[in-house]
Amino acid sequence: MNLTNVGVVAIDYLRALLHRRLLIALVIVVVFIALIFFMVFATVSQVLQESGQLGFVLVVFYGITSFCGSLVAIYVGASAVHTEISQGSIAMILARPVSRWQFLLGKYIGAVAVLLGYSLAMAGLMAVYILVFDLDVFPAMRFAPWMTFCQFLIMGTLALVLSTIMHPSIAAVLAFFSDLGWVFEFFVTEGPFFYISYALPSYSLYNVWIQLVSATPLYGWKDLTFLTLYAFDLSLIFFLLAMWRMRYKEVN
Amino acid sequence: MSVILTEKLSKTYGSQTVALTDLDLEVRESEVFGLIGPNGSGKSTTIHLLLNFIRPSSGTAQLFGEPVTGSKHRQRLGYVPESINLHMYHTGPSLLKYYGQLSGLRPRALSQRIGDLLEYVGLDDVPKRRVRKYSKGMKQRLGLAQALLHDPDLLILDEPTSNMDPVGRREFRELVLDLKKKGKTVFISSHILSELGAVCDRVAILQRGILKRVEDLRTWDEANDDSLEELFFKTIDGEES
Repeated sequence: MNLTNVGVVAIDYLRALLHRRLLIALVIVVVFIALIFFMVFATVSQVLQESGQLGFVLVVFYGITSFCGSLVAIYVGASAVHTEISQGSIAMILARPVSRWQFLLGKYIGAVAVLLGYSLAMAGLMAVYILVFDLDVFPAMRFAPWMTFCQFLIMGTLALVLSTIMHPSIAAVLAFFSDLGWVFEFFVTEGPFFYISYALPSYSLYNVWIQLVSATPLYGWKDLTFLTLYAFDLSLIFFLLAMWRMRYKEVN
Repeated sequence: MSVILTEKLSKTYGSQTVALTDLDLEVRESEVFGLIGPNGSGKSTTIHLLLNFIRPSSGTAQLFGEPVTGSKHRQRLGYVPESINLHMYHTGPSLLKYYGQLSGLRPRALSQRIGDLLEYVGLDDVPKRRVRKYSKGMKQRLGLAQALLHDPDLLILDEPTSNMDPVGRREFRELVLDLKKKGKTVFISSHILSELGAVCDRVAILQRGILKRVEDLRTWDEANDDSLEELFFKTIDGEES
């Protein structure tokens, strides 16, 4: 199994993403939001601390950045393979000793690296806010960056597999709105159809912001482990579907 | 030895559109082979099947005795597509480095080879310019360089001169003759007959996805006064009348 080609494709995808205007614009927006929150913490932290809302402001920051991260996830997932096919640049790659699974895995690893980097940057920023402004945070916020990464992973992988079947913009929209967890939470709580929920992607479980604003029970290590396994399992299934689709996909 | 071998190779899109029908073709080692035919005759379909970009509806295709679905033989294959679509964010050298790494070339040899090839195709004076700022001709040259990067035994060229100016066409002719001297196998698809007549050992004429004729130009030239163009039109017109 030659993994060198996988690494070469992954690094090149990271390089390609650095030149995508939409992605750069999203990152600039996130940096801008981070600066605004820094100024908020710096100027009105005393007032917020007294009213007990300082921790909540951090949760709002997390909510906004995780939303932007979702957009990054579906973008890097949906455009990974489709851009190469639509531009025709895939021809000169697949004419080399590069198998289709190496190409797809390389693209996927590049996308996952971006999502991991984004989650780490989120975690780093929140840590800075907490340390600099001595914030009193909700316990669930400890898990927030990891949970968000798990959510990004599912969304990105779903966008990837859907983009091998349909136009990437439609794939991105479907991946973004594919969270059917709420349907089963509110409307189908029992019966045979409920078990479908185990096979469908659910993002709300990973959104710590929703957990906090709805005052639902917060995560423990057991929940964290199971949610992580669920995210990895679902992503693996989606990725294998993408591999199968890619194997038979005609590129010309 | 057969470098390219197809047996009853067919491709149908949907239930109606027949792109290629029962193509039996053999291209031998060190041969310059031309695939000619009007637009829509199945030339690009044949190349895409050989490169495993698309799957045949029936029949088989082999490169270097290995089914085209494998990837090992592609170590010995260079390909220049009809429209050169490159990664625009690279510079010329960095793009060649990327392709060279994918072809399994070692870093030191690759670096040397990139320098030589950029000089060969006349792009050595713009090493820091991004591909997006290249002219069409420069992209074409870079496309050619990427195909020659790993010194392949077989070069597949899909309509290589369709976007070239007269100077580019002459250079292309010299390149093919140079590859021929080195004993490389070249498979060219084109509808510009004068180009192929000057360089090909054998040509195959395709029409509406059906192989009409395979002619050895080395022996045919001596026995006939007709040009390749006349041969082509006789074959096509004969079919139509």
